[in-house]
Amino acid sequence: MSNGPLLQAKDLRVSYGNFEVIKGVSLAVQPGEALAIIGPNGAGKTTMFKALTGEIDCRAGQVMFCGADVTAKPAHLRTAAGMGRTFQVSRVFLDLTAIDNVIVALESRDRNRGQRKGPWWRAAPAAALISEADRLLAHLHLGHLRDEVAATISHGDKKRLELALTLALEPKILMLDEPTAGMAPADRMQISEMIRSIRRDHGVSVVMTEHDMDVIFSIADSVVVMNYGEIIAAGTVDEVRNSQIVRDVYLGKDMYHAAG
Amino acid sequence: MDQHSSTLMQGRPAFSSPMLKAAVLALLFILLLSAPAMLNAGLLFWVGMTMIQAVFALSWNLLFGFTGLASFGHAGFYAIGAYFTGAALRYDFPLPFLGILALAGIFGALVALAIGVVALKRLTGIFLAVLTVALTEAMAKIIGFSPALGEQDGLGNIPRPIVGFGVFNLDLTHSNDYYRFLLVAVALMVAALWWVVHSRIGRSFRAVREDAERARFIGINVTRVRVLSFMISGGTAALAGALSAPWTRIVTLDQVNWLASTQPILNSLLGGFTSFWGPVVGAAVYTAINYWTRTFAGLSEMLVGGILVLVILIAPTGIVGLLGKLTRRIRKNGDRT
Ligand SMILES: Nc1ncnc2c1ncn2[C@@H]1O[C@H](COP(=O)(O)OP(=O)(O)O)[C@@H](O)[C@H]1O
Ligand SMILES: [Mg+2]
Repeated sequence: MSNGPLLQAKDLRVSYGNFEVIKGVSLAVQPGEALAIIGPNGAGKTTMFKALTGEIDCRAGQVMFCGADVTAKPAHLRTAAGMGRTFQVSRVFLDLTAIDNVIVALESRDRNRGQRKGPWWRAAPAAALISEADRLLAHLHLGHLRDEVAATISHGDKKRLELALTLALEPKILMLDEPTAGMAPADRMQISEMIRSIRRDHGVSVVMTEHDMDVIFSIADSVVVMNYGEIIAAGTVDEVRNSQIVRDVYLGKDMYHAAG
Repeated sequence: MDQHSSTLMQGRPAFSSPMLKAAVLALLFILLLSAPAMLNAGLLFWVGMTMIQAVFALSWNLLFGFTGLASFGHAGFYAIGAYFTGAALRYDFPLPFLGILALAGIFGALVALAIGVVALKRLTGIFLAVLTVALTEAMAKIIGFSPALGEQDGLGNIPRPIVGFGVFNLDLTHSNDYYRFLLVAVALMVAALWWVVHSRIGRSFRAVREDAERARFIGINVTRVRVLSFMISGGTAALAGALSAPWTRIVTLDQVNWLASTQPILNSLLGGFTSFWGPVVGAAVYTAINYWTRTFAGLSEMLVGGILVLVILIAPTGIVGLLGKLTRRIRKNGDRT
């Protein structure tokens, strides 16, 4: 891999029908960097995530990942290449238990690496895989929910379980769409501490959207501000916070809690 | 068995102890093996057909219950196997019987591959449902105009095979002998399907059934998983049809229509589509109802229809799901006292 950016969007354009939602956005994430995308609701942050991860096609522009053009690559290949993504409304496999959710993700990771733990004819997951899944659950404080069916666990626990699924893939970049949305303040701090420790331990990059400024300050190195599908400001956390244009967009509202 | 017990490992368990389950299965196998000594030829025929229908239903439910795709024309696959095997035996193709069976399964899987690539590449599951119906209709038309396949009258006088194993031959011309061969073949196929459902492949099927989009974002190639499931399903259905031809000794257009396609659906829903064994239970119960009501015209249809409505209203997870609920409730009450 080159020493260029890990993830890069070049003049990305996305439309829903005739309605252009992303109007030529360029951004770059360096290896190990944490970038926060902020902006009011409807600014196009989630759509940007979808375009970067391959959930939707872009009308124009380019997505580069690890130095390769992945614009035409389907989502599962981008995932296999190292993009780990969570959804704004958390998505896990609801009919499966917490441990099985993680096992499915671990097995998918191994399959994409051409690995298999244990002999092919063995139907049950290998012991090594089960203990890896248990470690992940414990790491995310979900150990006690191991055998609970995911549909029955709380909203915050689902968000953490989704994070566990994503971490199971050992991604190069974590793409988190509002990782603390709808959580109690204590849970928010716990999640941001977790993300910081993951960055510390594994050196993964992070791209996140978030409304809670405390979370952003504690995690992000730099911030991009979007409005109506365009980037209106970019810089370090402090630069963006003091930028006049950002204040204008939020019209003097408390920008940190402007858009719910 | 493993300590790891979970939703992935067992469908919703009706008899939850794996030991008990294995014992029940072993007993069932022994009972079925000794059936020729205990039953008359007529009853034995019903038992054989039930085993074939059980595999047919399992093949359908691999798709529906475990991958989240519906086929409304599964009889098309069954017919591919039945007619190919019927013709191969009747016209004495220079192929060993096991080779004929293997080819029948491969044909079924290849047709599924063709349909799957067309339907699933970009489109949604509804196209698969429509295309499978179209397959069955097309098959019926082709057979209806093929004198070699018996047109409207069916392909009759299918001889039972002699299976060559190199050093010795297995003569299956007598129905009792073919029955035992059928039993072993069915047991192997059920075991293979069980393995698929409970293996890493089966877990990826379930992930796709649960949430295909989420599955993509853990790196699963959803299209490939769906096509693979469809190929295994189609191949297994064709094998069920292939095994049926020497058993019934006639294959007819009755097996290539809309009604024949509803049979595996009915059996799966009746027995319970969320459980691996549901379709097997459904096939057995369906046969029992049909057998006991065979002298009253129309009664079996009414009973089956009525039971199906009941099942859908009060026990959407079928008989196996209902049994599971009951055992759990009994156990809970037992714990309390
Ligand atoms: N599936 C869709 N079809 C049509 N319009 C959509 C769709 N999803 C989002 N939009 C529109 O695109 C714009 C950006 O939405 P989104 O990316 O969800 O914003 P954000 O995540 O910043 O709140 C909004 O105006 C929204 O209404
Ligand atoms: Mg959003």
